[in-house]
Amino acid sequence: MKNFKLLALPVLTLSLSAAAADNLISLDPIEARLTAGPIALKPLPISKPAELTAPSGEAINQRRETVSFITPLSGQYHAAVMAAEHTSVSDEYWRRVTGEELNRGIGLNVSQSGSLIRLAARVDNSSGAPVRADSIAPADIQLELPGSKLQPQELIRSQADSQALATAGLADNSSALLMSRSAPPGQYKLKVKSILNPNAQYLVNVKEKGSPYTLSLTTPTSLATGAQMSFSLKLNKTSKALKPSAFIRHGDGTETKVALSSAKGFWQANNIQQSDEVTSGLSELHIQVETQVDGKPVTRSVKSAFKSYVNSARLGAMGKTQWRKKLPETVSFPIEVADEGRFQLGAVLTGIGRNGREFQILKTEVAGWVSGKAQVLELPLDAELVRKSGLKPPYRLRAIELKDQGQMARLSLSDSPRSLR
Amino acid sequence: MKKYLLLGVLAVAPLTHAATGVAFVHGTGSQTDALNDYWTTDFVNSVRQGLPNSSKFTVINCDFEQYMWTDGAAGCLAGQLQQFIANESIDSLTLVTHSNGGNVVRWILSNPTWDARYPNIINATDNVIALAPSSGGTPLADAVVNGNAFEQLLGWILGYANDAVKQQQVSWMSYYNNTWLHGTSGRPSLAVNFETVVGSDVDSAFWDGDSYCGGYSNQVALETTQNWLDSCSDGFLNCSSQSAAGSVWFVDKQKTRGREPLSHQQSRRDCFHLDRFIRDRL
Repeated sequence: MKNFKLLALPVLTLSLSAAAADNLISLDPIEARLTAGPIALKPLPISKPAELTAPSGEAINQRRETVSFITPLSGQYHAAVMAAEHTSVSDEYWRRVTGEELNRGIGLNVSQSGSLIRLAARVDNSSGAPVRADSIAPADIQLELPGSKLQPQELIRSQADSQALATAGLADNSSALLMSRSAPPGQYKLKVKSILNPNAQYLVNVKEKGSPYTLSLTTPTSLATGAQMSFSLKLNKTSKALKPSAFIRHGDGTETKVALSSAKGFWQANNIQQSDEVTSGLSELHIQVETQVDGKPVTRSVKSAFKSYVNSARLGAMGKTQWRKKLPETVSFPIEVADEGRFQLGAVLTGIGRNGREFQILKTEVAGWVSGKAQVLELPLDAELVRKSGLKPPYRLRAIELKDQGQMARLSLSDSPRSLR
Repeated sequence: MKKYLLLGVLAVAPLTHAATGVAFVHGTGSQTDALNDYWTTDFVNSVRQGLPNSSKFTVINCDFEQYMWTDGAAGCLAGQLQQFIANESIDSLTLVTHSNGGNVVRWILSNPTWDARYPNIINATDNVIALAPSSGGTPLADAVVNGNAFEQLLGWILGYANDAVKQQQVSWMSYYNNTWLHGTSGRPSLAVNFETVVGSDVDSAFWDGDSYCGGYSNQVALETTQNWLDSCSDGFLNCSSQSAAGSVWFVDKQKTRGREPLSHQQSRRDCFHLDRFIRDRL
């Protein structure tokens, strides 16, 4: 591994200078498929607003220093597969209920024997002060299957209390019941014997491990403000049309109910109310489906995260290359920004081998503070590494990637080769 | 390249001696005494015997309840590593990480331009031994975080829904792996060797003394949480998550004494000769 060492370039090589606005081009993100998703028939439609917008709020990375870095590479160049989508597959569901509902008893769809039911005490802040619900002892939970001859105790195989679950990482004040393998699918009634605060909030989580009724959700991994949110949704083992309900949980933790429509094999979430505000967290699309499959009641929840961002900058056409003895030392790119911030540019430098194929020489990255409307980012290339590679021109840049470190968002990624000149 | 640079340094500073060192990087949690509270002195003291000079080690104490890129997490780690490298003249560093500590280290290795301290740390690092890293996230994080909007706003009060837990939800890690982190399939490789030890099962038979390594009650609970996980898991992470980044050094039973599995608690303890394997790897 030693011979694969990285070269740090502490001398900062990002330079800022004016660039002609008419040189600017748009770099489309690579649209590539995620690995074998169950419903990955065709890529999700992706849209991106053309105009630049400045993000609001506090930037995540506000460092002003310029840092560049070169990683030596070797071997034939192959474009990296960049997933633009993520597929989540769910064999479970979760619902929010009150203490009053739990004392009264709630209906619970179970489509799989041996399922696991978890009750988690939650916190309600709707009154302005956080109210923490009490945890529920497993012994206080009753499970019944109306119309069945099975006794309640025959429906449960084992129990775990909140302390036991906390030691294993489920530290959210929850208790769990593991249903017996003889407990059949059906609509159960779950009731809590101990008196609970009627307004206390609880989460009911039913995990049906190994169930064939899985709900798959494919969403884009990032979404620019103003773009359309298209997604795919499929419940396994059924071809019935689904009637899902949905909400978006934004990066700041707030939630927005969204209306759904479907067309051309995709679903679309409308009125998702993205904000220009920078948030550290990701946004999530949550989907809930309730239906009947093969005469069994099936309920599923699924969620998938995506990065919500504003289109804050774009690169222009590649600028001039600085050469030393016919070897490239630096290359510049104009960048247009909506507002000042910390931006990162990266690319892979390739050359041509004796067999005429394209080989990689190095990966170069630079990040720094860019202010003003038209500036230039300069990538270091290391002529000595190019010479040692023995590769010949044309030297090309591949995988040209622009990121906004203030938003923690990838703004563009292009694998179209750009020959140095 | 590195040797060439070192010669230059020696020419002007002949009293400086390069050294091999190891740093222990804990997982999720805010640590002030990770040596005793997260690792154990038995484990750390055993591992560091594999160094040419066993005093060249450090145990990291940072706030890994925060997102991996924050000043409290990667920033704190970078500060402590930078100080260790400088004070001990370390030029060959091995990082031993556990769980989410692997993600914080991968953040630094994958994003050299984020912080001016990162390049020197990357250059000094030769190897990462990632014990049960949560590289692909865990469904348990999803289970903990699922709740109502109100408590999402109160994560800092609740503790359990901290940012590090949110970050380790499966679809969140998918985004970070595809955009900001290197080393997973289809993504640029990590330039530093990142080799993982994978825990594949939980053994909690009360008659088996091996179930008591790391604490028996922990083992029982981990068996419960396996219901959210694949058949191959360490009770907290699926094997697929632990092996999602870098290369697999070994899956527990391939090497451990008596082919015992390493639960998520046991993969940071001197259980079944794990400490000896790492010691011999330094």
